[in-house]
Amino acid sequence: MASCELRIALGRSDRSYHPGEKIAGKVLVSAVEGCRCDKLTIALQWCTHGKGNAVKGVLAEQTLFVGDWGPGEMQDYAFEIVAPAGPLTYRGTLLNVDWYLTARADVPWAIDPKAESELLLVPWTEQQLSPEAGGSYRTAPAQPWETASPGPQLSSPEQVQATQARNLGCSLGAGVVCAAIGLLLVLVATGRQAFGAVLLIVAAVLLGNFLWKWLARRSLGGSPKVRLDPPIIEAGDTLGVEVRFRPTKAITLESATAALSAAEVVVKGSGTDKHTYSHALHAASEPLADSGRRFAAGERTKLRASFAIPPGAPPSFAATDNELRWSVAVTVDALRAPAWKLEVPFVVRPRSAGRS
Amino acid sequence: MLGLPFEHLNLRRNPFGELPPAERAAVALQEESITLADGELAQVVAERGRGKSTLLWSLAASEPGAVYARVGVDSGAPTAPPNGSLYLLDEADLLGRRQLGRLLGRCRRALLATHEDLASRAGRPLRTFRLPALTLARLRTIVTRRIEHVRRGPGPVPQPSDRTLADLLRRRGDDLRAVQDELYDLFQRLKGVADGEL
Repeated sequence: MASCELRIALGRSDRSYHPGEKIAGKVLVSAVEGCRCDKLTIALQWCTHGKGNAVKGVLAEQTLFVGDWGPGEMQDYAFEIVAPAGPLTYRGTLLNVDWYLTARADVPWAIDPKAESELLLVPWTEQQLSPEAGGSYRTAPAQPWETASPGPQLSSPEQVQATQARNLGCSLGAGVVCAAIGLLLVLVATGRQAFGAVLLIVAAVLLGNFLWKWLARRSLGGSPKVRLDPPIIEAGDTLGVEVRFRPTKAITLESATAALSAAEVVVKGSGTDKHTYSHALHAASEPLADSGRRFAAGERTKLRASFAIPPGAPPSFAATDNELRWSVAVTVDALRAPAWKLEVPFVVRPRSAGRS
Repeated sequence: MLGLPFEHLNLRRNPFGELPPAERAAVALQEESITLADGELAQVVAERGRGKSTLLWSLAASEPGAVYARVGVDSGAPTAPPNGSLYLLDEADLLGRRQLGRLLGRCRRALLATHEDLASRAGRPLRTFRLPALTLARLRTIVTRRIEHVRRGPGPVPQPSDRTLADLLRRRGDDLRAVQDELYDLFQRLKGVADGEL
């Protein structure tokens, strides 16, 4: 039996808190036997649950007491923690984000007693009726509050394109090396022709991939510039997509589209036993230009589309092996050339307080 | 209005979601008692998703001083523990003959989890354990333990019927991971669970 028992009592019966509000409560200690407590702590943490590997993050930890408890002693220790901006509580299909308060007593030479209490971190949608304030309303704090990780690591379109170019370079380099070694083995090394042939096939795939993507870029006069406006958007707002290119020779468009998507993406397992699961939450597609539209050589071209992000859109989330990802995939397909594609992520945040 | 997860089902979360290793070890079945004598080396051979890692984690949790490592994940080439502690090595089949032989040469007691028989590669005698077959009774016990692990309080909790479990066994065989995935989806489809859809 544990030398003491802990319980967490929250000041709010609905356990529901908005960013910036104070999470107040008490840790109730009931000492069965007299014991030393090296540290009584309360921590606020989020944790993911679902099909992916579980991850958690501790946001705030407070030490409430250090000392001795006598046999039969009952004490309570008040705490107050400011609710962070995120990640917000989320109920999805593959991914859930949950918040907990965890109290733990560090008792030497014994199993540490602990207690856990769930709570909800919900967005400010409008003024909220405060149940404990006798019918008055509570509003979002004017001051910015502490932002909890994990915020999604946003890659700009330029970074995405730089990565794409790097991968293309690697594809070319690896293809050339494989082709050189493969040829050498096939022509010179006796008994290793089979391995050489495999390397030549790998080289053909890599070089074919390079050539395909290089031709796609070439038809548009280099890699088009993609701009999302704004790159960090609130739910309910409109996202603008702009694609700019300048073809070196006249082209006719077969199609040009922008596709918006939101998906939960989680990873289960590790090493060689790793599975990625994805669940689509939202998808929309808009044409950037009419099919058959012609562009003259050297013509500076701007194609635009816009998407209304639904007011109830779940905010972006990114932690190890667990992600709620929003992105726009742009495809520009010119006649007699391979299609050029680029997927650019962006961040959706919950609607600010006071906005209808 | 957002409520506590799975509260209406008297659960804290989906019982068949992925668990951290410590929790997975806590809910693992212990009916298979694997004990290794000093100087004994053994392997547990089974395909993916049959419960080898869970078995290793549960042994690591139950035996003081036992060390768990996974090839390719825990700092590349694993190193054996310095004393006679039980060494639990996951995905041991990824090691080459020389690497495996060198590692086992430094171990006093080790249990390897592998997809293929490593007896010839190890260059020394290896006792072989097989995981028990996944019967309906065994699956029912596993399912009940998972559900009880996330129970909120006294009262009824949802339980898949024997017919559902038998159907899963028929379609998925002893692939426990595939069964778990299907049960996850089944619980996720229960009313009032997910609100992420737009």
